[in-house]
Amino acid sequence: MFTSTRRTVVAALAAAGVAIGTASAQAQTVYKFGAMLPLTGNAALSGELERQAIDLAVEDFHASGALPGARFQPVYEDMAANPRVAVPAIQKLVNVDNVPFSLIGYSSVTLAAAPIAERAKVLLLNSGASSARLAKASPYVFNSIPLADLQAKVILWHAVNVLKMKRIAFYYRNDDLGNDLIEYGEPYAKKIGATVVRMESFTPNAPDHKAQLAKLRAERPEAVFVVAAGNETGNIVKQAREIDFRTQWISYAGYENINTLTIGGAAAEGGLYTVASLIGPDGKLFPAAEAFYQKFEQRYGKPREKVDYVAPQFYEGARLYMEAVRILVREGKPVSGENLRQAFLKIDGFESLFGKTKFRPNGTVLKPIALKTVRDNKFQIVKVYSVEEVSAMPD
Amino acid sequence: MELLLQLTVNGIALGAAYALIALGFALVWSVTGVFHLAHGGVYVVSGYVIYLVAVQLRLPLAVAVVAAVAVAAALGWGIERAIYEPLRRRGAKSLTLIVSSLATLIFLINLAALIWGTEARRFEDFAVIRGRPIGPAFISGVEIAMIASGIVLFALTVAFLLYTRTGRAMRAVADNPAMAAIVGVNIRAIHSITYAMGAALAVPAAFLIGLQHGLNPYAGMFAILIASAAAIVGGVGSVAGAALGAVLLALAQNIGIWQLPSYWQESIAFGVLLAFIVLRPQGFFGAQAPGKGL
Repeated sequence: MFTSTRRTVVAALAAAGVAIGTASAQAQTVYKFGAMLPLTGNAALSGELERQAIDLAVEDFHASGALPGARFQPVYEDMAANPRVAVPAIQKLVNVDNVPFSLIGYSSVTLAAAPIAERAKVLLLNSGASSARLAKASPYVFNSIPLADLQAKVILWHAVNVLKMKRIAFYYRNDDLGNDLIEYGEPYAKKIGATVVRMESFTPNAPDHKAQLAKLRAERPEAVFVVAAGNETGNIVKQAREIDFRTQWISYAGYENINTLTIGGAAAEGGLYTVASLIGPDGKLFPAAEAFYQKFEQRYGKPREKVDYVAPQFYEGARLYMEAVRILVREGKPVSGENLRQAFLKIDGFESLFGKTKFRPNGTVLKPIALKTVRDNKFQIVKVYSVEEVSAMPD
Repeated sequence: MELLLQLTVNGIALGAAYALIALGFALVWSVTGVFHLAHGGVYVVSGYVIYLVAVQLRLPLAVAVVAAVAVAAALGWGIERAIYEPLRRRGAKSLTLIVSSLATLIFLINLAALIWGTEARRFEDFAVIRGRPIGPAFISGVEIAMIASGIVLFALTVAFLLYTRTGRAMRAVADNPAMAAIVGVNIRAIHSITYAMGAALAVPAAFLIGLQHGLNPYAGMFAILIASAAAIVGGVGSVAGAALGAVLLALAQNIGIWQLPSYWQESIAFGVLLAFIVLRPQGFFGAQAPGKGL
């Protein structure tokens, strides 16, 4: 009995010790995660918004008390929207900072980082890149943003079937994003009844587009699908206006960049593009999105019209990571890249900025798609295509 | 034909702007014999000075241009006095001068990036000239300004070299510095004036190209690549050749893609450079080596 009692006491003390130790460890648990952003270069303005959005996500999660004792600590690495810069950045995150997870954007960058992350079993969450190829990049790449094939499908369908535009041209950056979008978009445009009158490309970050625009102008397209990034869209529409080339610009989410407004000015007005929708079926922002914009303006003094589409995506990405960590802590599992993959697939009922977010086993998401335009130098909603409407469009 | 005309208009306008960068570069190369890569850095800083004064400080554009000319000239003069001249005094070889010039270029580009950031900066619309159609093509206001300023500044530079005392002294130094020194030309002063003048010529190009493409500190690399290629195509030592070379390169860049996919654009332009180096190494009008005349 004594022995039994002693064993019980020892076991109880050990359990208490473990519990105290766990609580103590929990009180001090720091969860580092990477955030590879374009902090320099042409996309630096977007990168700064993304950094602020991630900081806000961390502050909000800490304030919510959803995981007591946990401190999330982003480790920012500049990837300059350039895969050559991204490779040493991901290597540092993996080998020096030992993070199990990183947020990332830009198609070429994500594709360049994916094999390194996969070898190290570090999960990447793409919150800003759209290349359709990302769906198959690696089991360690998840995408919290609807990929470009989905965005292209909706805008092309809208141009051809709603706006009745049949003469479509493509102007795209010669990189993974542009090539993938064209690979998907050109046959899709033809399939739904359009004529592709010309396809022209440009070197990423090229400042001069006049020669290509002159070639596009000569074909008199009713709409030009432009695939650009950073400040390129602004430069393209501005230079088109300078040679009196007037057409309907159609694009994917890359059109919603603050430089499109500042550089493109009046030439950017009327451009149509698609993004993951923050608007619900009632025509209003989802509650979490409304809260995000209010807090963002409060915290950084930037009104919602000046915040591009990527910042809320990165806020959401950081919150998704913290939600996945919460799931793992609840299950008593270590926060590793492999376990995070499983946890992401279990996320359900999460208060998303884009309605409900649920990952598919291939690491992609399906969300409502908003058709937006630039009106009065602001990004504005034209229409929201629900998941059902998008699914009904031919593939 | 409409497309060909439009591409020609674009090429001539861009070529006129390139010519202004090449003019200053060729002037320095001819008179001093230095392959002045730092000229690209002066070009970048000039654009940002206009941005600082006209956009950030909201002063009149004329004030901004005058300030940029003053800063560029001082920078050109300063590079000569602080870097090249001390190196020459110590008997540095031309390769050492090129390396020091490259280092200065990188320093100036990064200085601009440090001060103004690496994101693209945009000038306000300073459109005083309206664009207009030329038959089925269209020329923008900025392109008209590029062509006009290219022609006027080229003519003024040539007139300066031909008809002023200082211009004649610059030609004398370019032709034979030892003889020029014997007849009393102050070589040191002529070098400094040449650097200052060459730098000032980059200002209108920096402004007009900035209006069209926005400002980016790394544009200095491409600018000096074009300027040096134009100087080689035009002929080593020929200011007029450099201007013509710049227009030719820009036309090749634009017209070259008339019937070819546009991703060949840069390959075509620099293919022209390669062709000249191999087939006509003296360029259009060039003497055989720098310092053999303007």
